[in-house]
Amino acid sequence: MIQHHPTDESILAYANGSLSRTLALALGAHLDVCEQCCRTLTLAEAMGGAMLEAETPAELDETAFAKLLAQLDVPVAKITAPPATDIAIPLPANLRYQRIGARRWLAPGIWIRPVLKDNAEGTRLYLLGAAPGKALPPHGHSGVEMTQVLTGEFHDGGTRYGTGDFLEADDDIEHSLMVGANEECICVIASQGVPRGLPGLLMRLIA
Amino acid sequence: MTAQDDKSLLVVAVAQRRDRESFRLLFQYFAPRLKSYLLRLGVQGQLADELVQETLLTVWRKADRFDPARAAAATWIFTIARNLRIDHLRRAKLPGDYFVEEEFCPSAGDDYLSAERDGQVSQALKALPADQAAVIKLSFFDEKPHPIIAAQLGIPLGTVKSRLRLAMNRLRAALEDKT
Repeated sequence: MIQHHPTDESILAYANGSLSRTLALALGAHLDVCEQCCRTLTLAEAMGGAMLEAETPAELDETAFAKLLAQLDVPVAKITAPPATDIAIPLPANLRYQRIGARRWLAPGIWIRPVLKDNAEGTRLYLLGAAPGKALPPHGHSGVEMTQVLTGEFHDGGTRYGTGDFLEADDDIEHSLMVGANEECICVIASQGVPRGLPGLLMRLIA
Repeated sequence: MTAQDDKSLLVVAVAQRRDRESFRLLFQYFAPRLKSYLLRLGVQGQLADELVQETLLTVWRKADRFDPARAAAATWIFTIARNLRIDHLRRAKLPGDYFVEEEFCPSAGDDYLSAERDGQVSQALKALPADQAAVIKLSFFDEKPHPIIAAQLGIPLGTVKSRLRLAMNRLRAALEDKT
C-alpha cells in the first residue's frame, strides 16, 4: 500500500511538460506503480486539453497546411529503441531504456549507479542501493530531490518509506535515512544541486 | 463511454479512412490554438511553427492509436504537443536519454480514462471560483512559477499554493461526484 505520493504541484508540472527531465523520470517511476497519482495525471492532461480548446487562435502562415499535406506521405524513419536494460533490479517501465551506469561503492554496503546528468539544469538521476540496516548520514539539499522506492524500505526520522513510496524533499529539509533491517533498499533518485553535509568523498561520487 | 466530441470523430475518420478533409478540419481548429499556446510558453516563432506542424503530422500518423473512449481529441493532442516539446529539449541537451513517447500511466484504471471525463473536467474548470481558476491557468497552462503568479495577482505565495490545492481538490471532487 503506497503511503507517500508526489505533490499535486509536481504532477501538474509533469503533465504540462515543465518538470525537468531527470525529476520527471523519478516521478514517472512512481506513476508506473501508483493508480491514485495516475488519476491526478489524467485529470491534469484533461485540463490541458480543455485549456488548449479555450485558447485564442493565433495566425498561421497561409501555406502551413499545404506544407503539412506534402509531408503526409513521406515515409517515417523508424527510430529503434535501444535495447532494454537488463540488470537485476526491477526497473519501472519509464527507465527500462535508459543506460544505467556501472555500480560504484559509496561506502560499505551503499552503491550508486548513475543514469542521467543534466548539466544545464544541474540535476541528475541515479539509482542508490543500500544494504539492510545501513544509514546515510544527515544531509540537506541545495534544491529539489525526488526519491522513488523501487524495493525495500527506509526510515526518515519517524516516517517509513516502503516499496512504491515517493519522497519529495526541498532545499530546507535536512534528513538522515536508515534502511529497513530486512532487505536491501533500492531507490531511483533525482536531485538538483549537491547534497549538503555528506562526507566529501560521498559527495564527489554522487555529484 | 461513448461520449464523442466532434473532434474525436474527425480523428477517427483520419484513422479509419485516411480522410484528408477531416484532417484539414482538425488542422484548422487545433493548429492556431497550439501555436498561441506555444508562443505564450515562450517558444520562439519558427520553432513554434515547427512544433505545430509536427504535432499535426503525429496526429495523422498515429490517429489509429487514438481511442475516443479513453480521452477527448483535445487531451490527446495536448499530450502529443507536450511530448514533442519535451523531446525537442531532450535532443538538444541529453543525448544519452531515450524518450519513451508513451509515458503512460499503466496503472490508471480503464474506467477512469474516458472521453466523458474530459468533458466533465472542462465543465468543472469553468465552474471554479474565479480566483482559483486564475491560479490554475497561470500555473498549469502558462507554466508561471508561483512567485511570479503571486506578484502578478498581488497575493502572498502561500495563497497561490492554497488556491491551487483547493482548485485541484474541487476538480477531483467534481469528477468523483459523477463517476
